Amino acid sequence: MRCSRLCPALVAVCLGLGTQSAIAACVFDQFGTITNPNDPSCRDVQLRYTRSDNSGNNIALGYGVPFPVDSLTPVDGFRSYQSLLDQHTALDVGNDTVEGSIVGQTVSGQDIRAYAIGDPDNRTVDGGVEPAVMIVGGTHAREWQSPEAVTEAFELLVEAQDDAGIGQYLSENLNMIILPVFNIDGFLITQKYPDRTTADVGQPRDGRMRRKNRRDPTTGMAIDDDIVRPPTISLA
Amino acid sequence: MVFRTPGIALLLAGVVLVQLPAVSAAAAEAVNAPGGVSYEQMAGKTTELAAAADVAELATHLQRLKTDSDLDDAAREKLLRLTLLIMADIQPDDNARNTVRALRSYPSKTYVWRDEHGHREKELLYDVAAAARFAEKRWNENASFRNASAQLNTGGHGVVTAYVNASKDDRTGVEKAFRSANLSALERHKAELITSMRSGDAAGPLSLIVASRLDDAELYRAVLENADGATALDAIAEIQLVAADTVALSLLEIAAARPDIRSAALLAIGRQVNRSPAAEDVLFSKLGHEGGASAAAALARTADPAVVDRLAQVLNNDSAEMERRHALLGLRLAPGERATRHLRMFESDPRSPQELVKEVR
Repeated sequence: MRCSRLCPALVAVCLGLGTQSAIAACVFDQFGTITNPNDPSCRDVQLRYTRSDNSGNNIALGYGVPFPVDSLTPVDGFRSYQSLLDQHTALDVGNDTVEGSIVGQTVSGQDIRAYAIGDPDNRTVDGGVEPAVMIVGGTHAREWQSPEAVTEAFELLVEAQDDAGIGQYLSENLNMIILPVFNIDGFLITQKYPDRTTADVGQPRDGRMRRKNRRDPTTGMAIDDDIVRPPTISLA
Repeated sequence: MVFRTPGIALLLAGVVLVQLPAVSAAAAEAVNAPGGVSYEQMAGKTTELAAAADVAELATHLQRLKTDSDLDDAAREKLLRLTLLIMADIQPDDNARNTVRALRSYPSKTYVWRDEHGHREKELLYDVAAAARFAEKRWNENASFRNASAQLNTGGHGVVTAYVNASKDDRTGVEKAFRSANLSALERHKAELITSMRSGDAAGPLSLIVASRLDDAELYRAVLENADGATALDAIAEIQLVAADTVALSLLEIAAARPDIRSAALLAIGRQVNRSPAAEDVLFSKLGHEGGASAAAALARTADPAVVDRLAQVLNNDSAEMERRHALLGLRLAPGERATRHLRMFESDPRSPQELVKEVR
């Protein structure tokens, strides 16, 4: 059953391992979409990432499987969403030049937060109107480095705002808006299943390899996030 | 580079969408491609030799697969990869090593398309070179495992010294040996590991394995004080699982003194609060200092009404601004109405400083 819910490339890996008897599970069309997602032989299989165990439904990565780490400050790995959110709030509460706002909500009800950095006026030091830039992270759920990188930029900009150099120049002459995690729902799913992946109708991978959010395009409502019981509709 | 057609793909694999450049004679292709007669014969031979663990014949078989003119590229690459992966778990002889080494940079030619981010990317269908490197890596790990196990069983010394100077593959083998060794054998190496760590050697991962298996606080301490950041972080997770509560708290306090893992350690201390009252005091003592934001987050996560009230007390009565900011942060992060109520009261109190009131959002 090893190969049933994989993207074509991963199915190819399965073929290489000689498990051809199990691979009739998921069938991909010419666009790479699974055409039999509700076939139990395709639907119900989960694959587990491991460091070096390639047996059964395991996929050996050759390095330790990254799990989310609880730490507000950067670590040798990836921080959990809750830790990132706590760190963003700490930067907001700890600095008068940071102003956090709720700018929207996800379909599951999570607040989407953005943070403005810089002096409170909208004027440059020579009286002009300040331009604005916006940095957005965490759009593709499975790309954990993106919220890390944007949070690091957030931390650096706050630390450098009184450096009598480029940091202070940016603070005084620019409105900087940071939105560290945009697709919170998808990000949380990938962190909930950090070593498991599977397929769904519209996107061949869910769990750790999920890329999209949780919106059902036909109803606008959130879809189930349990990869044991995958949705029957494609995702926005 | 070869891409295969959908029709052939479904015929051969049942799943993968692959593409042939120009299908000359479909029947002939099917015979030589994966699933065809020649392929089945060769795959059967691989299975037969693997069952017999005949490494010499497997190496010969590998050579034959490289040059067999009856096989097309996809079939050849699939068989080479399959055979290499099987050989990875069989102890090699010199000929097998040489044969596999020659495949380290084998140029596979068959690719598949993958839909990614709205565009198509090509990937190797069977990466023979990667499989060859995997086999060599596994052989090195296994050899290292056997050597280290033998040394552990006979009480020989030098295994720690060898570990700190070894390649990554060899280190993996030694770590595996330490995970399966009996506890008395591990005890014999404890002192050597501590000395090695304190002298700056990279013995952290091995020390953590031994610390965990012996549940040894002294060794944990050496790891937390001397190991690299990733290993020290792993130690924090391990300590929470296995160490007794009082031991865990003292070890986590040691970890909290180290800047690169301080936040993780303080959040871990937060998880001790309901088991160890001293943990709460440790966290409150950090407010206003380095790691104060992490301590505030840890206190917030306890969701304990008494902790929330204590945070409010610090916010309302303390004189140091940073300590008050950390207390305010704790209240903002704490779930539930109680924390919100404290913040509203602070906000409406005319004695509250405006620079803090504006952070109550």
